[in-house]
Amino acid sequence: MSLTLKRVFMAVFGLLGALALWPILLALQYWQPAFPSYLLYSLAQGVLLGAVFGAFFGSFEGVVVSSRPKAFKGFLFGAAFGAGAGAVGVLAGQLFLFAAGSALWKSASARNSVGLAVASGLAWTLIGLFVALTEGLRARSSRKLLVGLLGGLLGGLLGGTALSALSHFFPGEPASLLAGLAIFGLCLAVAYLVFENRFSAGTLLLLNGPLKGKHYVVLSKALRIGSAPECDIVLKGYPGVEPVHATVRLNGGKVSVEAAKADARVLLNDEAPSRRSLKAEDVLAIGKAKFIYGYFA
Amino acid sequence: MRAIKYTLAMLLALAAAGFAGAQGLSITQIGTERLLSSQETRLYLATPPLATDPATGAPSLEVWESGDGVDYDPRPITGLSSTENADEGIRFFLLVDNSGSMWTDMAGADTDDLAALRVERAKTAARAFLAELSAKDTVGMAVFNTRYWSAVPPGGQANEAARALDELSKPAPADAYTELYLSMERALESFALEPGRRVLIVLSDGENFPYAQMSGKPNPETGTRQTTPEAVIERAVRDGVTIYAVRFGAQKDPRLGDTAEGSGGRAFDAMNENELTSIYRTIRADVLSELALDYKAGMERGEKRWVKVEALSADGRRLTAVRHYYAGTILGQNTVRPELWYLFLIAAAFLLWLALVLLRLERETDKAGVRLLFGTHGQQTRFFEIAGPQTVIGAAPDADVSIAGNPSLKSSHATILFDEAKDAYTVVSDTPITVNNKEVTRRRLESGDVLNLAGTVVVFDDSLLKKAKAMRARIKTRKYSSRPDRR
Repeated sequence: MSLTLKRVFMAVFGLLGALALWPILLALQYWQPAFPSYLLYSLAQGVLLGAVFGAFFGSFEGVVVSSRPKAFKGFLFGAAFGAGAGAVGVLAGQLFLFAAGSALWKSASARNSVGLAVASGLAWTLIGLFVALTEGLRARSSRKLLVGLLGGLLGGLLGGTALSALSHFFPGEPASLLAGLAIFGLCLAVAYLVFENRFSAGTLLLLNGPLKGKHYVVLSKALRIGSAPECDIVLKGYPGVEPVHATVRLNGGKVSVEAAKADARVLLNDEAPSRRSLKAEDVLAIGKAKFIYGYFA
Repeated sequence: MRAIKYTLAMLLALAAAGFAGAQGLSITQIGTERLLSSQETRLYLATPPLATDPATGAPSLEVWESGDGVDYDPRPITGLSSTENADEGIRFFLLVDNSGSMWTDMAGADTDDLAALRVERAKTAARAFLAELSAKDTVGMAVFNTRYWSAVPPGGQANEAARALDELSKPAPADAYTELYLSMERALESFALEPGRRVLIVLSDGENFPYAQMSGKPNPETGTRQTTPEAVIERAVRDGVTIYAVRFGAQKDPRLGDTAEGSGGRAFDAMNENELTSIYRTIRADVLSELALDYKAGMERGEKRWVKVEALSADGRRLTAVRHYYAGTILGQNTVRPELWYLFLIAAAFLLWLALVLLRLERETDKAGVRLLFGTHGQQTRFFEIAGPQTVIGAAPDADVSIAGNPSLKSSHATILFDEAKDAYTVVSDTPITVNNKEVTRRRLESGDVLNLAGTVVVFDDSLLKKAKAMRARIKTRKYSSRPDRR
């Protein structure tokens, strides 16, 4: 998947999340009287918002590396994690409203309008932040966590503000909710990818075979390559690739590669890699698969 | 314990109500301070003595809530106190008219008798009122005519207000207008920030006479800003402030009474300082005698809620009071019953997602060829198929793979040879080129090899699966052919 296509996909995932959430939240709003309190009602909204966006974004990595098992697993992990994030976000927003709300917005009208909008904006920001952290937690990668932290913070803040502001200014307008959700999803996707590119230690571009053209961003300390679905780069359908074939390591900004097995074919510019760090335009052979390493915009 | 609490509350309520001589039942203020945290709404009720349940001693009170003002649901009462306003103190705000007419006598004539001036009579009554406030009460004060002077900010002390009264001076003619409703709105803006029971007492001796509309020039403080009695009521209801209006003198603003009642308060008329003093005393006694009732609020859709209180008075009358308040909304509101297309939309989003997951955008090539890796824009994806035993790559327009744009590229730079018997591709070149960053002049190629021809980088591509199949097939053939030999 080329970088452009990856960006388009991520944006589409954000929009799909918004599309799925819109009717869900509209239905929830209709059944508002069934909730015993505002707290539970907003908790339900947060959990649903987090779960749906978490599921869609959680499956993204699986789609990028063309691994269906990874995509489905990421979907479930993202949904569960996002639901938790939604609860935490809403509770934090409420806590903020209780702690600072009466000091910041002293009159009832301000508390019930601007105060509430800011508190829910804060909740959406936190949900965005946690959803963006999903991939970093899944991959146990500090760089991915940093990408998620910054991408989620920026995307969540922009998207959360838009979502909250739109529902504040057009409360009875279902279209404004859809627009707010779409902006939220898009902001999250775009901000994540911007920071992913910014913090990557280069990219491996796959040159041949069925998955040719895919960009694999080096962001984690260890990137496992092999034919097994649990690898980070899944080379299904490539001859001569072991289930776990090689590991690309990132250490102090230096990228190196090592074979996972003695007889696994790993070549760097047609030679044994022998622990040297990768430089731009190096050609890496993993079995019959070939990558070129570099920074691609 | 509960019964004792109720009984005590009621005894006090009865005593206070009796003292104040309240007639009907009214909801004077609705507080939403704890709505979002503990789902509680507070009502301040002015009631006559109420009948009590003989068993529990609880007063006969019921609270109902509605999202549309039509269908009401009963709500549980969580707390009731008749001493709340005495315990917590009352937040007063005095809004005093200081227009030109206040500096005349009650008949509207100029006079040298200082004590006969309306403003002096108002000051006397106000001083008496301030002297009676409890230490827990707070008071703010503003004076208005064309301009608005915030004399004592809300939450101030009685002695500060008394001092401010001494500073009132006769306005210049241009400042002598009665900017009544705009001043009430400005008072509400600052007063709404006070916590607790908020009582705004406005004293005016005339009709609203706004500067901008009457003089045709913008108001020196508010420009062309205007407001209406309706907007003032709306503001007071949203922020839970009760307005008490005192019409001083014969000339009365026609809408001031409605405005006070719309906010949950009352309007009074006074002709001299004694009546004025007694009105102030009544207002405070009324507020002190109010019941503070907390109830568990419902979750009706939308931000506007109606609340209805029903009570039975001690003398057997059925009393009802209805008012509305505003709650917040999160993520908007929806009153449309969910429809089938909601499900379709959700399903569509998930199906589209599934399609993207299952979609294989990449396809294995079944042809051998070369692809430009870092070509000029637009040429990046171009794939040159390799056909026949010899394929020439170069800058010449008639080369098999003709690449333009690189002056260092020779017209015939390298040739890829195809050996059909071995199914092998080999690149040959007179001048050294690099394959996978290794300098060569001849090299057998495999799928994915990166060729650098004087700066033009191409990738050699060939089907991996076809090769793998062919290899398996050759191994099989060899096995078969070896069998007869063994025999």
